Amino acid sequence: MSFLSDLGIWAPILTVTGIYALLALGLQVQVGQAGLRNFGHVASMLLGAYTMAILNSEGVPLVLSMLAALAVAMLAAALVAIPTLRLRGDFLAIVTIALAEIVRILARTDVEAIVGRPLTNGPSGLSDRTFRSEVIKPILDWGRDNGWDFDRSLPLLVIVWTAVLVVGLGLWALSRTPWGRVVRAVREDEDAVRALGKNAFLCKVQAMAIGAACAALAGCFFVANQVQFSPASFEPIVTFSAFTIIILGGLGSFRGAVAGAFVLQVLLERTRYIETGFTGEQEAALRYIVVGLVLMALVAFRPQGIFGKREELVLGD
Amino acid sequence: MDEILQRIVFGLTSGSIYAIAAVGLTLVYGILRLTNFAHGDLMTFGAYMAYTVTVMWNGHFILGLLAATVLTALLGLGTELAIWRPLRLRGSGVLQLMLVSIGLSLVIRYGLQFFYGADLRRLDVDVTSTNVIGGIRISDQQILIFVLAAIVLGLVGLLLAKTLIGASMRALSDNIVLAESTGIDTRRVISQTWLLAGGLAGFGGVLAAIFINVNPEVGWNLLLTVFAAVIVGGIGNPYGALIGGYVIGLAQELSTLVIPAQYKLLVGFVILVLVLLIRPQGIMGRRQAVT
Repeated sequence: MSFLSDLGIWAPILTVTGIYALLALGLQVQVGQAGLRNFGHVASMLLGAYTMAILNSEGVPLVLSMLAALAVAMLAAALVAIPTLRLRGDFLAIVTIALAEIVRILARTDVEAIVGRPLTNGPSGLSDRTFRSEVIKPILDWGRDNGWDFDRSLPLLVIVWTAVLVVGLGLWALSRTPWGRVVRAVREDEDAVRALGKNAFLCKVQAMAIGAACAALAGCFFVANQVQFSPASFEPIVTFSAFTIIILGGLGSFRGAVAGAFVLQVLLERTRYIETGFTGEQEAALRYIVVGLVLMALVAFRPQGIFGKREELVLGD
Repeated sequence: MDEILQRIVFGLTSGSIYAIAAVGLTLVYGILRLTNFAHGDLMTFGAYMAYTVTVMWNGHFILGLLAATVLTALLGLGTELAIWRPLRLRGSGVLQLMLVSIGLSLVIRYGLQFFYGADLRRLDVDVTSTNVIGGIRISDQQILIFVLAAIVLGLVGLLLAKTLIGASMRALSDNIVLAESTGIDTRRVISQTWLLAGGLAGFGGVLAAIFINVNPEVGWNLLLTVFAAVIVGGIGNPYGALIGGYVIGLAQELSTLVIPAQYKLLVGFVILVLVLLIRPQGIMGRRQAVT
């Protein structure tokens, strides 16, 4: 077990990969399965992160605050979905990105003027150690008592990837139920689904809510991983990265979403250790340039990604 | 009363910038059905070109403004030739084009950050002198922005209304197949549209740089507000976008009379969402344009 005591740089990288995989799994349900162009996915992650942190600071038990985080994000996504989902694809994209920015800017301005008490602590954001102290530390202590000196990043890594596995398998199983087939049918031809007497609209709202729950869970783990977070952690680039991931892996494919997260993260993180002679700021810029180039090249040349099916290509229309 | 007039002055200034950017964005959408998320970054590119000429090379401001306009117009045309035309020929869908534009936006924005760094920079324009006219403060830079915008928007209005190029652009925006069948060289008009849209973005980017500052995100941060102007005016309609720009600028500034100024930015976004939900064709658009 000695290798578990020092995972080096890989544990944090893989933890972040798992968080992105969860986020991408949620987007896969919405975009890949249901064909809903949600460009505001990061807002669900933000709601999850803030809800958990705020409730934890109020002394709510961790499990409850995480459940509440998922519930808030699902409710918000369903509420947004009801008026917006009838919009044309490109308008839906603009509306969702605008709504996500509204949420982020509200968090940045603090919502004191609206709710009557400080809540989000403005641009500096919040800090929440509850997950560390109540979950990770006991595991590390337990390990030490039994003579295993785990790497400090190991518990969260295992928890996140267990969640990825459970959520991924769950979504895959769900996609093979009659409900999953109706959702994909809605993507292909909504009128035909309605003609068969299925409630296409309800299916779309449900797909939005399920995707939002995945993103909220990603938000909770994001807080667990980095403790301090702020509105700047939830800029639109996060949604765009998730889009790059699901297109990389293949639209509609859940294992593709996980594989895509892995490929993108390795691409971004490994390049960090190549000696380039650039300044840190330039290297940070290069990483985003890589995301942009990968996104452009994939969409242009291999829109079905690694695991996607050409006949299920939802990009065209 | 003075306070209201003061806000109107501010609203017209920022509205000028939104209007200039929105006209180009809406023309590109109208003709190519491309929701160009890289449009804001074209503005940023213009801002940095002006910065390079006026601050780094000590050129005259007018020279910087011209260089920014011309170079950004060429960048717009370059993206058409290198990216958009090949993608159209492959029959790419709306979502595909949108995602490519997001990728392009990242490449331009972080490309600029790579070369110029992320620090805030300023154009060498006098930002301090203020004129007081009848109790209302108008700074020199606001007058500069307002006058430059009025000249350019007037010229663009004339171009669209009176010239063959403008008429062709409007024809393509209405119905590209019909336009092509009447013998209009659509490829050429599309290239001209990109030159115009890029040039306007570059010009608007310089105005934004005067009003705000020069940083790699200056245009990206304006993009959603510019989209709001486009949507309010009816997507694809250049005159609507022009009016939409001023409507959004005024709405943002006048909102500060009733709500805290920190929510100013949200006003544009909320208008964007409400218009799309309630009247997606905008204030001037026609219903069939959005179905």
